[in-house]
Amino acid sequence: MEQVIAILIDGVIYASWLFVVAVGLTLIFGVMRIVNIAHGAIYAIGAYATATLVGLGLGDDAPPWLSLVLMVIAAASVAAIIGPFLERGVLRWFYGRDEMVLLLVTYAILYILDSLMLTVWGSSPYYVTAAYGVFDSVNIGSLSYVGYDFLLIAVALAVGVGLHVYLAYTSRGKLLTAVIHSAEISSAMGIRINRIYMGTFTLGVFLAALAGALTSPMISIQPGVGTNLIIISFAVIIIGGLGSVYGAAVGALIVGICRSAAVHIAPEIELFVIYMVMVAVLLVRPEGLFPPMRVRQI
Amino acid sequence: MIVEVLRRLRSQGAMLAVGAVAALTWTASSTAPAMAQSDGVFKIGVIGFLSGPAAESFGIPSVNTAKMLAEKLNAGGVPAPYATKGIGGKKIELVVIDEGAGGTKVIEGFRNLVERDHVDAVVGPIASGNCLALAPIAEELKQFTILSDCGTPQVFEARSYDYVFRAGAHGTMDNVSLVLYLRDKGVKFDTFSTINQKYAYGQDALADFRASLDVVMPGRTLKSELWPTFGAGQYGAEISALQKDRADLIYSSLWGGDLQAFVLQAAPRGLFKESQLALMAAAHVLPALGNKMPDGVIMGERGATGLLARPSPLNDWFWKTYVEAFKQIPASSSAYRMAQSLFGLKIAAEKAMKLNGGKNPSSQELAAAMTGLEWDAPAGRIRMALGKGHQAIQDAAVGRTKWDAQHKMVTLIDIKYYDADCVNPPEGVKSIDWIKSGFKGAKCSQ
Amino acid sequence: MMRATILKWLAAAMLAIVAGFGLPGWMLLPLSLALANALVVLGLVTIIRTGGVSFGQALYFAAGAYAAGQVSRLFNSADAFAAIALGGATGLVIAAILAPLLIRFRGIFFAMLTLAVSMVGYGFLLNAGWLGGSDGMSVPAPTYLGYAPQGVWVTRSQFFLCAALALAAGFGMMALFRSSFGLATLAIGQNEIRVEYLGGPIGTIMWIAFVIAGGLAGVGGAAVALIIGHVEPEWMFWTRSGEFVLTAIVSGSTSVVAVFVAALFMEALHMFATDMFPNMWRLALGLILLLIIFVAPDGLGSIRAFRRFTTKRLGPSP
Repeated sequence: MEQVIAILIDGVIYASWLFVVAVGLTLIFGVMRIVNIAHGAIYAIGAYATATLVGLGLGDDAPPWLSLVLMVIAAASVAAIIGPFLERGVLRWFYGRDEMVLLLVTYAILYILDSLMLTVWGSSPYYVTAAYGVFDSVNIGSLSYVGYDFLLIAVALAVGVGLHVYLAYTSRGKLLTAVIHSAEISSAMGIRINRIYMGTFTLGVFLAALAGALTSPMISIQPGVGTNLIIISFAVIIIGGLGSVYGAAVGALIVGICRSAAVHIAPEIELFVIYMVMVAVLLVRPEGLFPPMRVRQI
Repeated sequence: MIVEVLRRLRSQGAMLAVGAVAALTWTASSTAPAMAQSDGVFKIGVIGFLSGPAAESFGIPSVNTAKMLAEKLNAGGVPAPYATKGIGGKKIELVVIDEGAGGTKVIEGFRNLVERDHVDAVVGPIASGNCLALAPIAEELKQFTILSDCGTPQVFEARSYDYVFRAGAHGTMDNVSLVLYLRDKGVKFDTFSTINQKYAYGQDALADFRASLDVVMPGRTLKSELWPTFGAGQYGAEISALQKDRADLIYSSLWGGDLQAFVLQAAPRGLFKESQLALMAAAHVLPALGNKMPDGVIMGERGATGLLARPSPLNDWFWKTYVEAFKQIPASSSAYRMAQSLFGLKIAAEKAMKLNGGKNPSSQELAAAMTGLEWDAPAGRIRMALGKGHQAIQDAAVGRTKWDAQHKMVTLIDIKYYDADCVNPPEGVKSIDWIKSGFKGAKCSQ
Repeated sequence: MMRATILKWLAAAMLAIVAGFGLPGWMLLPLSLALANALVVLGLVTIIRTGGVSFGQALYFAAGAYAAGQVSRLFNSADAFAAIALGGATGLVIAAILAPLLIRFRGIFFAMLTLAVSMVGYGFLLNAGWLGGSDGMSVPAPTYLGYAPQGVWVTRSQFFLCAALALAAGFGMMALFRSSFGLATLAIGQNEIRVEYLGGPIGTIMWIAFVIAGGLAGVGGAAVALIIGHVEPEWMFWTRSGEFVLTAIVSGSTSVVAVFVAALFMEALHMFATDMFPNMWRLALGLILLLIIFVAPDGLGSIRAFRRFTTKRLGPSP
């Protein structure tokens, strides 16, 4: 029984973290048809930016909750600077090209961002651990969790519900949905698609940076923190169905719980599990659980 | 503007063809074979991680040490017996290659060092996989090469080499000394859990640890064996699994960023209050982690290196010079291993130059001089005792962490040193067989 | 026309022989690697012509490499030709088994599923102790039908092997691209449904393209394994596939010659970037790649210098 509870809690915490990363990725793909391989690098930049801000803004005796505020500010500033710059400065020159070409453009961007990070922040690690201790710990049976872990769940819920409300109930969100269905027709109907692209990409960057910022208290921030993440988030959005926000949520839960079950029950196969699940889901539902609509063109 | 120009050029594919040709020729010319070996220079190729996850913990300390020692040796004034300038009076020049570009590129880079730059010696690489890949190539090219860092015992146990040396002990002694420490310090535990990265380094480490445990302290129960992915970053589920077990001891060979993330996430959850943590090689994370590392954690650092190094004039000089140059302490074993590789190279080269009249020694001459060599290094006495005189052994050390609030740094206390002969297999015996034989032939001082 | 083509290939062969004798070993090595990688890319281009981009060619590449490493275990000699044959056969067989599963997918799904399958393979290699786990295993220096080269001839024979493979594959693939099969792959890439309505056996054509690509990737992997002398699971990692795709995009999918030029160009670029900017080579590489993708939208194959080599002038894509 305790095993099951542990698997569920660990799985949901991991899934929350994954969801915040993956939903940005899936939004960008849904609207712009771009698989952004540089997403992991942006996650790392979010963590680094938090470290810099906390280092600048906080002395040793500042209250720890302040670093929570700084995290959001860090993520927002990363999004405000990098989002429009990449979209207006780089990506838009390649619009209209094949999906694969755009994927490779982001691959080149990944190389560039990796290198810039090393130049700006160097190879020494940064720490911003104060925030991890803001909340008390929570005991469940023999297990003890840090309150901060549950903050991750709250943030993921907020992001998910926020996006749902935005897409389903606001007029801007409906415009966005229209663009997801067909960018060409939306553009013909007078939707200013360039703005939507820039806005979506910036939102995606913000979510990746936010995930990085939220993770920063739990890790040592150093080169390579975002490397493994991108491939797992791909698995999540492919399981969920590319471009679907709900799919990203379900995909994150499936991956999170499978991984945590593997750690608790069969640690040897942890590495396999994510890809196995992905292959299995795709065999049954080739376009993921929440497939995007496609029109057969003759 | 620029974009407009590029657009116009887009149709003119010829430009690209020209560009391709230009790049090719530039590469060829800028990297044209160095003229005949310039006199008065001793060229050393250095391979280490400048990028990727191993850069911070191992690559940068290693390459930094190489640069620092090259500069100091060239200027003279290093404590005895390394006071003479350069190597045999020749100026040391380094050519550095980034190991982070991947195994294939390391081999390519190595070939370039040999056939294009005509280096006198190569020192590196760091990853075990790269050592295993590189050693046969060095042999084929007949290039004198010192493996500085990698841990796998396989290199000289699977075959023998004429031109390849390793100037540091392999990984076996790290786990043997850790287990001996647990016994000698009377650490009480009936159950233990393990967490290691799912790759050869973690698997070899655990195999050595468990085999040693079976010999020294048999009858301990294994609770769970966790295998997180290399670079996982999130250890929530692993920590829950460990917490559920409540094992008395947790063993791990995690290192660098992964170890730091694990400690940062596990300490607030109180894992280390329930279980004693024993780490195979972890002191390199202490300066970075600071007081986030709990007190009383048992750890080594791949020999008597870094915070575990014995005081000696050479070590004191090395420590002070490193701190002056890089504003941080040389806590990583990689700094020490690079130092012992370069000092050993200096001794061997000067020995060879005495015989050949002061010319730059050939690979054959260097190899002959290095075989079975003994020399002093910041980590103590290094002896080429295994692998037909090609594999070094050195003393091991294990200690416990203690936060020193006054100096705001973690120190290691309760340090116990183990003689090289006590924790390394004798010549001709495979490490794992030696452990399973109950350390037959080990010479321990106490 | 036929005679002119043969003359061109003879000229290429002569060039390879001159290069093999004239260039120093440190230049032959990257050339050999570029040629071996070009084989993999050539296969990938065959798939790309049908409209899908496989992001998992590293699977067949690494399988071929591991197979080449097994030759010396299976037989008593490390014969290069046996290694190449076994490597190619391994890639071919694995591709033939996986193809029916994979070719049902299109576009980004095809890319991601091929990637997922190759990552399962990667996980398998990490766990396979008998293949050396994450450390990989060494591949003994090859012999050539009993001839064991020494000194500079080691690198030289590797180069000649790669050059011969490249010439054979290039010649074969060019003929294939010009055949009705090759044109059918292009037609599928342009509009699959039209081909279906015209009665084209889409499944069979894609299966064949995929299997050819697997075989070529296996041969390329075996060749690289013989050159490097060591193979490790990293070779099956998705970034390796990414490099192949990058080269394929740089080359474009219309010209065989462009594939070789692109592979040589990428190798030179990598060498140049790591040499000139040891700390910033990723930045340099990234910027140059962006520039290439921007300037040559359909790859090198689309630019004028290569047009004469292309199979057929294509109309504007829809």
